[in-house]
Amino acid sequence: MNDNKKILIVDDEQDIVETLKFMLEAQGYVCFCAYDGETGLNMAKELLPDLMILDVMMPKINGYKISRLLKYDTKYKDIPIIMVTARSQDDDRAIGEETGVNEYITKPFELDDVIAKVKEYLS
Amino acid sequence: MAKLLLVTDDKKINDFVSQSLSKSALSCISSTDNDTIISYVQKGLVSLVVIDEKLQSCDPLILCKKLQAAAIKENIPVIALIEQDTTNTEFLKQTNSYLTKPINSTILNACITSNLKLKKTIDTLSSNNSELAKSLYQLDVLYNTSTRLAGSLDKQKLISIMIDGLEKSLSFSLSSTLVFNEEQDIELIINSLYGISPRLEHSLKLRAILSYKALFDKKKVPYDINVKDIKVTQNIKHPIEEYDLNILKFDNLFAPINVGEKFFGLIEVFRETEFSQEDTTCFQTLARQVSLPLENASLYEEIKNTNTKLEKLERLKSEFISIVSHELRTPLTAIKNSLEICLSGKAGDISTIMDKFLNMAKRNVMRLSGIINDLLDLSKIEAGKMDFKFEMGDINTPVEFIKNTFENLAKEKNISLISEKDLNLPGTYFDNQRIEQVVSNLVSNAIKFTDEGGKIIIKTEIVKKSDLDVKKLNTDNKQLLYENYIKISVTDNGIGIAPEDQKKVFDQFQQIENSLNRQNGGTGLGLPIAKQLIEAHKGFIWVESEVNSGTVFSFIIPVLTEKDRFLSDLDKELSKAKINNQNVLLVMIEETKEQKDSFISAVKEDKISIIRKTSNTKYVYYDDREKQYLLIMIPEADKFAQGFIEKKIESALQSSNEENNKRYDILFSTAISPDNGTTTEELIDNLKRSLVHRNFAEV
Repeated sequence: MNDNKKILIVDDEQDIVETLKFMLEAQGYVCFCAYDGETGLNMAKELLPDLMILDVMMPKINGYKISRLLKYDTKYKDIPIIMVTARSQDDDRAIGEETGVNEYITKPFELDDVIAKVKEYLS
Repeated sequence: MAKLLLVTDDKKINDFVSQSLSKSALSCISSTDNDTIISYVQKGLVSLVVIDEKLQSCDPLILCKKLQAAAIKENIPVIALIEQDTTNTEFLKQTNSYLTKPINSTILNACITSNLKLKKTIDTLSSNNSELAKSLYQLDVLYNTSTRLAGSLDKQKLISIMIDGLEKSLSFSLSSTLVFNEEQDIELIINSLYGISPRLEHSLKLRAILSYKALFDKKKVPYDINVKDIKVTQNIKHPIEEYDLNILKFDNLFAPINVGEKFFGLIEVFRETEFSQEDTTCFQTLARQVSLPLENASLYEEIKNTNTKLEKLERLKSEFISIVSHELRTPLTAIKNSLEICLSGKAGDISTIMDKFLNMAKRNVMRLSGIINDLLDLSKIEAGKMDFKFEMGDINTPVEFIKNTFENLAKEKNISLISEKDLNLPGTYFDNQRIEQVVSNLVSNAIKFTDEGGKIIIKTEIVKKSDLDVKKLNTDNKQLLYENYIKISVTDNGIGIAPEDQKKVFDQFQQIENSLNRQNGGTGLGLPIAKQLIEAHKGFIWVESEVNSGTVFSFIIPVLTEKDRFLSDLDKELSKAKINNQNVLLVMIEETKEQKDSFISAVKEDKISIIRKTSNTKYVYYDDREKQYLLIMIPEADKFAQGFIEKKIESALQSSNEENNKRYDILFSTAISPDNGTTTEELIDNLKRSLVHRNFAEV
């Protein structure tokens, strides 16, 4: 039932991307990956994914900026964004919420938690 | 040779006096011209005046009055020559002594001698007197200077106080002070009555260097100095005229400024008139006087530098821990994810033994992640970045939650976990998550260090300030600020903690040297964190224990009323603003007069002075030198509509902006709920946005 639902994962940590991709594909999702902010943003505009998993600290464009650029554009504002970050200070969470992020998950996270969140948005 | 001035028209007298004096050491000059006579006396050219009662050219009485006025400074005696039957008492009053005509040579000589003796005595007396006055003045200057020196820890100021004192007491023409600030920072301070020619400046520099080298003769010179290294500061009183090398021929005094081996500089003063012995003593005293405060100043500077360095190190340490912990989290996540994938079986079948080891790996990853969280917590608390959410609640809630969480773990070890809750506890303000963290830490420790079949009791109760033993409280600041406290204690009958280790348990990284503890692992950060968290609640945590019979960990947090809470909030906001050195707009939306009064007293205690208070706009403007706070109070409780509050804030801001074009960071403190359906948070958000929009505040 998850066939053809597209998920874009943007994170400069390839190992994290790979484990997320493995688990999500096992659930039947189609995953696309980007390892820097700029590529991630371009791919998001091109692919119009059904959901994005976004890291904060990345080369070129950071996660907050991507989120803001997408959420303030009527064409992309409906794409759900799950932000995953090693930063856990309350201020960061507030910035995330202000930029329109739908969910905020702190590293180290449980893969099951991420999958549960994804399912929540894509069912 | 002493001179006698004779004033007479009578030639016979003139000849007689001259002849009578020829055998003595006195020479005689005579004149009847008023101006000449006065001028001789004023200039002190004569030692004695003899005046005839009968003068044709002028009135001897008037002349005598003038003479007395002119002679007063020089103490010149005036002798009258009178007729035997004289009645001129006025004239006699104006003279010091008299001789009756016809004059007897012997009596004349005797009279002159005794008058000269008298003059000499008076001269000595008055000279002593003026010396005394000068010494008194110098003493006064010395006293004043030493008082001023004691009040300063600034090197440059100390030197200038010393020079000032020298100038007052010695009235020198020029002083040249060589000061060693740092190894390569050498200054020559020249204070002078007149300007300094370039070649004089150069030779003063050379002179200072030579004196400096001479001081250390064959001993090692502390620093090697060069003429080029010396920078000159000139303080000139009258720049119209200029001193040249001739000033070096003036009388001078020289002294090093040092305390024992520690050398600060040297000073030399020049004066046209000779320095007396008293001047020398005064000079040396002053130069000595300045050395001690100078040493204090340099010690103070050292301490200050060390302090700054330490503060920086402390901050770096916190930042380092924070960065490292963040960096550690990413790889940890990748490890954890991979393990989870394997354990889920989605990457292929795994054997029972593989499952066991993968689970072991995962458990240790979780442990590592816990340690990193502890480190992060601690660095956040130390950096003052920990955010607490204090809310009114019942402390039994987190206690019950933690008891339920640990029930299974306790059962596994066959330990009975019991809670004894006081169900009538008053509500107080606390951060639920943090109290859970503390109780969880205490309970998990208790389970760790209690043998199978043991018993753990979690107890909550209310205690009065008077019932608490401050000596037990694990704190340097042994003061209980509030009347009532809630006490939570975790009692076990486990292995206990030795008395010498009981104090250490709350110290960072201070794991007790105990094999059992080592076996049980941990960072040893749990209790230090608990201590910090409880202290942030204005509470205390402590331990009581006996080896082999059990341990009680207890903590108390105050029962806070709404007012206590409100004041401590304000206190926090103000100190935060001070730390960040920000311009702060503190908007207070008031409910009661009581709150307003307590706020004002709190701010006053905080040593912030009220510089202006206007009754019509109801705002108070606080100035703490460079930092500024603006507080606005809106007391009418029934008008909490946004527009109304906005207007009030704006009018206050406008009046304050007229004086200083400042923009403020906004801090809101409010105890009210608006009545139009919006929440307090929404109201504040709206206000903030509106103020930023109107350029009154910064984001």
